[in-house]
Amino acid sequence: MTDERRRDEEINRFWNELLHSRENPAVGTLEPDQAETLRQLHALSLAPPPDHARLRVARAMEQTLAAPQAAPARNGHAALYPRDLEIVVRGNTIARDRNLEAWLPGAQVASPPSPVVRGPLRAAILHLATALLLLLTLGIGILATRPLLPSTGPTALLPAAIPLMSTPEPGPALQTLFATTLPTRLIPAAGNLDFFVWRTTLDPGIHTSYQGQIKGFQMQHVISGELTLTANGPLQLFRGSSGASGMVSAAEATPGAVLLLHPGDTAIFAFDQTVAYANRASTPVELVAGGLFAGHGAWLPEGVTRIDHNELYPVPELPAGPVDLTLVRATLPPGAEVPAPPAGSLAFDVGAVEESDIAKRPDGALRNIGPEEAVIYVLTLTPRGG
Amino acid sequence: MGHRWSTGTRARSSQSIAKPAPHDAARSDADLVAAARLDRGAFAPLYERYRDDLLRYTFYCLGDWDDAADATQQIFVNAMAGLPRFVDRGDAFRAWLFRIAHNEVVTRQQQRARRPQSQLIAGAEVIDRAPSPEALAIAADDHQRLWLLLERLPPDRRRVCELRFAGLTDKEIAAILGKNAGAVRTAQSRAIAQLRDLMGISLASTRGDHD
Repeated sequence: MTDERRRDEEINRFWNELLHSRENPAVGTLEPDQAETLRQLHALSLAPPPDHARLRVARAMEQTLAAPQAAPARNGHAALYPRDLEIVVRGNTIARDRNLEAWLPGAQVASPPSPVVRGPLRAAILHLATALLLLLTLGIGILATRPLLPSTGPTALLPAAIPLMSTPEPGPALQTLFATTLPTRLIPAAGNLDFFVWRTTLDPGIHTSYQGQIKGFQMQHVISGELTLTANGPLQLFRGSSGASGMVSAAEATPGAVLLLHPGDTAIFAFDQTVAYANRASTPVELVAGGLFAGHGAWLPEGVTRIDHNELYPVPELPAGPVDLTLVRATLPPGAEVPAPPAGSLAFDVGAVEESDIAKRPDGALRNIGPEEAVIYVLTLTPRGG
Repeated sequence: MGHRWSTGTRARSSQSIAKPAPHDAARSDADLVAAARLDRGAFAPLYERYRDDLLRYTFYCLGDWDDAADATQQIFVNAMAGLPRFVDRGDAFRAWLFRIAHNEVVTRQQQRARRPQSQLIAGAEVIDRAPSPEALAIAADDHQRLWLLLERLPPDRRRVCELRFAGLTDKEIAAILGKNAGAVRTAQSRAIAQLRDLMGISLASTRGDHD
């Protein structure tokens, strides 16, 4: 476990214990002033809300519930939730909740029971539904065969019908920044694998290095700025700077070579070699880093700043063989989605600026559930043997 | 069931409002939800149980007690209307309720953002700047002081802390915000580091005046 992750866990444990009414949880390895910060903040949150706010809620609830009860249902049983509630609730709120529930992990949405209608009314409804169905079928038939018929002039039927049949969702703008197939030798053996994706920056004038001792690979993709990279082992370099849709060439750099990476370029190399990073320019280098490694190890080089990160440990066992790697930049308006990756893939996202409001479905699809447009980078590993 | 809507433990006695039966406090959410599905009056113990947490949460998000009360009322109404669709599995009700709450405050924040005067408040330049000691000193209560601090956090960290200070755990927050628990833990660590700095500047020097 990395030092940062251990610190995250300690803060989390302490906070949970404070929440569960333990006044003096064990500080453990937490820094004393961190514990004191948490205690003070927790104490502030314990104060009861003011009475006027409580009273305002209670009065509003009484007014809401004072609305007349719905009439009993036609089958003789009282309706569980009367119609007056539907009047009070804003229509879009419930619809949005339902959408969100379907997206969130562990979503549990059950359909309300359909009202049971019997007797003559049921027969009348059935007749009406059949008639409507016939009319609809007839209408669709006319529209479908229309190109085969002689033109009788413009019609307003079809455009008017479309908005009723579908509500267009805002679409994502997806740009593949980089894609390659990683050879089997770069994929660490199964067991205690850690998959990560980071958004990082390297400020001007920073020179730093990292001596890796863990098995696996890492990728460094330059978003902006110029990164100077030197590795003491083989390194795959993908020049994407001249192409907007991904790499245009690949080369195996010789050990010790000093490489200058521009926006769009990507370097991939094994984790167990020494790599030196430098920013010799006057503007920060913006990077997306990602990879897969075995075991634990704090490897963030000193001087590199993390903007956002996502990490999964341990990773489910990957089938042996090469792995397809894809890095996509997605611009998501509120409600827009990145489609699910292929089954068996590992996929993670990071925010371009900071963590975004991205919900992940069990199948891996991503949706912007926040109120603002989000720009994210999605790194996907897809085993070819899977 | 005969429940009425209570204003809470410090409600004025002149109100004709009765608290839920004492034994309700020991009942699980699952039991109370099952009862509330059959009789909406039986929703009162759930209201009683979560009203203060929701009020705090909505206040941290909206910064105004009247707005928080209105949002809380709407959250309860939405929850009652959505209860037939809710399938209970253990302790899921609390996370479900706060998911509704999260949606409600996001909607209200969007409405505010469309108002020109709110755009000035939402400007990025206020982030990372400590609340002034004067602002903390005149804050009416602890929640207002906490809100002043939370207002200085970036949105992702702030959302995690708003739910944390309303009493939710990291796993519940992850479920509500649709993030993995690791991301929540990281966000809260960063937030604590930032809040520690902010408090070092201002809160420590003003707490004594109010204690």
